Amino acid sequence: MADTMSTEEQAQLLKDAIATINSETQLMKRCLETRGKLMDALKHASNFLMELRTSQLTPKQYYELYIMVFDSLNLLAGYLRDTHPHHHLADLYELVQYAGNIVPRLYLMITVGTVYMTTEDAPVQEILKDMIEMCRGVQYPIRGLFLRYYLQQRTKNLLPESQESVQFVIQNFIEMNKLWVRLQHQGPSKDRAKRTKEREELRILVGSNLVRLSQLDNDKDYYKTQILPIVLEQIIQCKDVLAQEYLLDVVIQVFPDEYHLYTLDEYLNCIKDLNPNVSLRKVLITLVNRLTDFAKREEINDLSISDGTEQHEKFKLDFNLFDKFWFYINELDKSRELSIEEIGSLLESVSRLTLAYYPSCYDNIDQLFKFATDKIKDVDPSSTVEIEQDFEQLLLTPVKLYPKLLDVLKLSNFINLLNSQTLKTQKSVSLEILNKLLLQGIKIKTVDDVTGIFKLLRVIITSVDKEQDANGEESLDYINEQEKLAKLVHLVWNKDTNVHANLLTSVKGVLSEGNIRHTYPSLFFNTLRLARRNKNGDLTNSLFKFISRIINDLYRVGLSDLSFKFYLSSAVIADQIQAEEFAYEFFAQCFTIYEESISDSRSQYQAIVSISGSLQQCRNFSRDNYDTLITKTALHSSKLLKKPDQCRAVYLASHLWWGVEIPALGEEEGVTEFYRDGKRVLECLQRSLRVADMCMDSGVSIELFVEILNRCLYYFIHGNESISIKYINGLIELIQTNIDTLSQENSVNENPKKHFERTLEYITSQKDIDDRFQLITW
Amino acid sequence: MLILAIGDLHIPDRAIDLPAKFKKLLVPGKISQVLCLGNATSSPSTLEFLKSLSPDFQIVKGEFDDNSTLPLSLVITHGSLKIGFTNGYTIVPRGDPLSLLITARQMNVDVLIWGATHKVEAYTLEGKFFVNPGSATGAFTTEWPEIDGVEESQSDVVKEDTIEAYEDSKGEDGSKETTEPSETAEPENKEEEKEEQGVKKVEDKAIESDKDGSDEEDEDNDIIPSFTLLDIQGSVITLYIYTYINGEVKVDKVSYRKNQ
Amino acid sequence: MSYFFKSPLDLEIRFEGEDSRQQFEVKSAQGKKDKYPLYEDGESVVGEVTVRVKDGKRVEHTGIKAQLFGSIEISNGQRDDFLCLSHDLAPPAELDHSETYKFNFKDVEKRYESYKGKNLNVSYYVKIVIFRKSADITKIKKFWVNIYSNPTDLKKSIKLDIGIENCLHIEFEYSKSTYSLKDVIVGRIYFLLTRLKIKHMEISLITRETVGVQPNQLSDSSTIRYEIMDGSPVKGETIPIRMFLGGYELTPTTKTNLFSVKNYISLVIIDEDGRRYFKQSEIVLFRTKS
Repeated sequence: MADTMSTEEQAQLLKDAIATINSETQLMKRCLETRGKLMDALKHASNFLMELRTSQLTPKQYYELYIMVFDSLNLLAGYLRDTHPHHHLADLYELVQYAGNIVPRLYLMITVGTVYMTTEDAPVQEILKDMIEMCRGVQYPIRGLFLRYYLQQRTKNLLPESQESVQFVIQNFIEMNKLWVRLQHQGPSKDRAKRTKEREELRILVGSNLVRLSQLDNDKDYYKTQILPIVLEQIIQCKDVLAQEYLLDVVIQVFPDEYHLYTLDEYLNCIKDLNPNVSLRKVLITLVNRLTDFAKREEINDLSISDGTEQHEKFKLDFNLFDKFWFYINELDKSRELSIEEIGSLLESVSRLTLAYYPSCYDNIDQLFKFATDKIKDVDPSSTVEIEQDFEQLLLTPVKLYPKLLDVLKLSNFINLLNSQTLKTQKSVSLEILNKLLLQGIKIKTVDDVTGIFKLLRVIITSVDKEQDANGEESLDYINEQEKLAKLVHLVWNKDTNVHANLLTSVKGVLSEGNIRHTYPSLFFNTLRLARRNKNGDLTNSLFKFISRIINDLYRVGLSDLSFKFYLSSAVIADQIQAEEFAYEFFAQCFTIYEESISDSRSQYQAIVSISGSLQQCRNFSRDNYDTLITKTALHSSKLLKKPDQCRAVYLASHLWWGVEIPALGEEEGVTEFYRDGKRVLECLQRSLRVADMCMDSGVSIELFVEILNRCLYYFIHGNESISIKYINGLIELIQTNIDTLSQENSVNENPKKHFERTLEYITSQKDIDDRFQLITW
Repeated sequence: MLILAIGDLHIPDRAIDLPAKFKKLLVPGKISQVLCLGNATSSPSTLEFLKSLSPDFQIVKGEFDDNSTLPLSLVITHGSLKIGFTNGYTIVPRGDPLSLLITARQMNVDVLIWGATHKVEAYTLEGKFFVNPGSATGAFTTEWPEIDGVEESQSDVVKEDTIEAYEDSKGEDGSKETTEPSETAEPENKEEEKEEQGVKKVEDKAIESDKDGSDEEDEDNDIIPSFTLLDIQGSVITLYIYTYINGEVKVDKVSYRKNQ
Repeated sequence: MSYFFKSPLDLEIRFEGEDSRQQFEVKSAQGKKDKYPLYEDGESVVGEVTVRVKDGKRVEHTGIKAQLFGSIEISNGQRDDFLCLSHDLAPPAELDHSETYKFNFKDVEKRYESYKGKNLNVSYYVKIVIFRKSADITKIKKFWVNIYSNPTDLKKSIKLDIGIENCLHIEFEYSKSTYSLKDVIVGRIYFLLTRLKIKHMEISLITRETVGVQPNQLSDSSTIRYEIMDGSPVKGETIPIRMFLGGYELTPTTKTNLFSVKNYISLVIIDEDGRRYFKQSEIVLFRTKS
């Protein structure tokens, strides 16, 4: 072993060995080029082969030597091939066996033997048998591994298609594996880890045999009866964890998936006999992944539906794949008491498998989930991060793979397993479900689905923001989660408005447990949409009452601004669907909230203007009701605290007495009869003018005058006869006088002045289009 | 330079998200300025997304924006062009062209961009350009819904304006009225875009097949998701109107030239 | 000898058909290769001797004899002629011209193989003697003898059970106890128990010649070493043995009253600490014809 040497010494040794190989190779070449010097050439070959007898190098260094030797022997083999039959290869095969040292002897034997095999009538099988038998003489692991690797490389393209060839490769595999495993047990036990690392470096030598085996022409039955059992037997027998994990992985990787399906029993049976320290994850998951990918590649739709279509003619299994795995999971559990870690990852992979082959067989997954739920009962799921993650993955499998996510609800054990997890897992699974629902955008249409889905999301609904800061600012994560819940509400839908209403009732019930500030707004709008769509009067009543309750709840948690807006929105919709009583009541509620709870002057102005804007578009009020509402609006407008706000709100309120066309309704100026009262409009404008005049800041006054002038022009264009030329001309004069006065004081504000000028320009431009404008002068 | 005008998203209260195809079109790097017309602040992630599109992000308050510090309107200047934008919920009567004209005059702007109606519009009136980018999410609105038969004539009106305005500014290639998104806003992304659309189509198909047999197409919300991009070259604006109809993005082009 | 007393006669001995006869190569002490005509047991040794008279001289003799010797020479000077045949070629006469005489030793029994060892040589030669009143004139010519045999009990395989208590237990098996010189030793080592850390294992072929009897016995041996295993096997491992003999210069097993040549096969195990363990057993080598 290399233990006794320092790295520097090893490097020097390697250098020397390389030098020897180089020089002996040169000598060999020279002899090969000279007639009759074959014996000397062989002698030099034997000399450089002596370097492979070393025990002092690391596997990597030894590999370096091996590569050089391989190239040199390739020269020799090439020469022998070219000069045949000059040198009788059978004799030569015997001759090289006089080499006194076994390592050089065997390399030479294999070199000559494999050339010999290529000659006509050569006893190929006997040569193969002889070479592999003689290789037994090298029991030193690293040297033996490389020697047999050489045998494998040299015979690679020479193996005839025969069962003997298969057995040849298998035998070499077995012997190499033994050597490889034995390497672990050499030298002092303190170097265990180092040797494990060395073995990792060497594993590909062993695995190459299995690769080679898979390249030979084997049919499924031969594989099942003659190859796999022997290979598996060896893997079991060696009892080595590293070997078992690696080799089983290679077996799965190199042989075709059809073979795996055909030999599942053999493979799965072997697993329970493995070293208990072998990671089931490693040896099973590769298989399951392969089979799962295979299903995708072969476009296997759903084997649980036997409809005899073409698809099923193409691919058939004469057994139930899931049942098989299920059987072996139970067997494994009996034979080696599966740990909770193993169960997590195992079930996760098997669940993916069954989803690939039997996507519509919900019982399969449910069975796995029940098993998992039973197993985790006695364990703390937070005991390790791995367990947590494995079970999370298990739960996520159907979430990710079901094309219709709502099918998750068909798994009766899903919720049980979910609830048995840590809060962290529950949350991340719930979030994944939520994300996917939103991504897929599939409507939730039944009460059962609503109940089921929201049950799965309960942990998000009821979650409390732990990171909320002292000012009550919520954390971004929390807001994002709640936002998703709010979005989900939009997916609740049914064509039948009655059913839809029932769904919303259920949603409200569930959401009331959580933070309604985040979720009720979307419930509100969902309901409002339904209300507009609905044509059933009874339902309208109950929907608007439902809406009232939603707004009330929000108002109770202090969202007065929002409640105001929601009442306003509800009022508009109620008007649109001719539910006048509700419309009136909602406007009344608006005024109530306005009076009770909206105190900020800016909010007040915006609120009152919003009411004006909304009322202006209402079409279905009785005259009396409408008059009451608009008068109240105008009144509130005139009571605003700040004069400019008051002024503007009042002139905007003037529009409440001057209906204009709403194109969406097909209304048309000159055709449609609008609610109009020119005198009341004028009254409003006059009142706003008075307010403007009362402003202390003359600049503000002038700006407001100009704005009122613009309103006047609006009504002038619309033919409101109460707004006369005289009135307009008077207003223009008033503004001019004010500007003149101010400019004498040299304190004129440029902005109102310019606004005024633009207005005058506009009037001038209108004179070409509308003769009436000719009379406006200044 | 490209200016994005977008608003009335109402996430999450009224809508789940922007159409995915909009999100693919809206990527940072090309847009010089974002003008957001409000109703976009309830969802921090959405606001973040909009802000990510350009370092120059401007927003005005919509009716449902809780933040009272936001301005109701703003004016920006690009060369000789003055552009005003406001959500418009405080304009009475709402969406009325004459009211808007008054507002534009008051703000002293050549272009007025407004929202609140969730209906995409663009027209020239009295030498000023009026643009409503609609709702980028196609959010529900309490505005009167279109009654049957009205919609078509309405869109015709928009188109007439479009062509008129277009011919005003550029004569020769005025025939090109509707173009693909890949050829206009994202010329560099042409190939990629088409591929992505291809992929997306497959996904859509899968989801559609899920919906087979259901009646979900029968929606009660007829709002078309839309936004607009203003390409400003001197005193000329080429307006690209992006709409999302039947799962596809459609782009219309309108031009405006400011009279000196 | 003839240098100092210049012989008046030249003798040339030629075996019948010498040119076509098989030759046997022997390495001399100087490393040269000497070649001798090869005879076997019971074969007649026939030839002729030509006597040439120099310079027209006349040589008187009292008779000419042909003799055939087989003799053992030992390094201590001892010598034993185990074979001595002779017959007259010519009566006393005076030679004045060259003359050729035929000799013929019929069906000579040759008991031993020719052998060239460390302490011992076995050699055969024909000696021509011309008797004279003064010094006799002699000439000898060596030939080589191979004894061929064909033992019948070849098939018996040998199995040796070898062990060191609680440490090593092997079965050493080889095909037979008797091998022809061109044979191949085939066998195997089966490890029943191995606690030794074996470095390598080899087969040694030992040839031992012994001359004389105690206490004056002389013996010597030579060894051919052949590595058959590298590294340390585990229990249950079987290591094959195959050793071709044809390429080595080996001596058939020989036993006489005076000397013996014996061959042994020895299994040698060397452990990692350099200790050697071996098991030796005799094998019989014989020569077969062709």
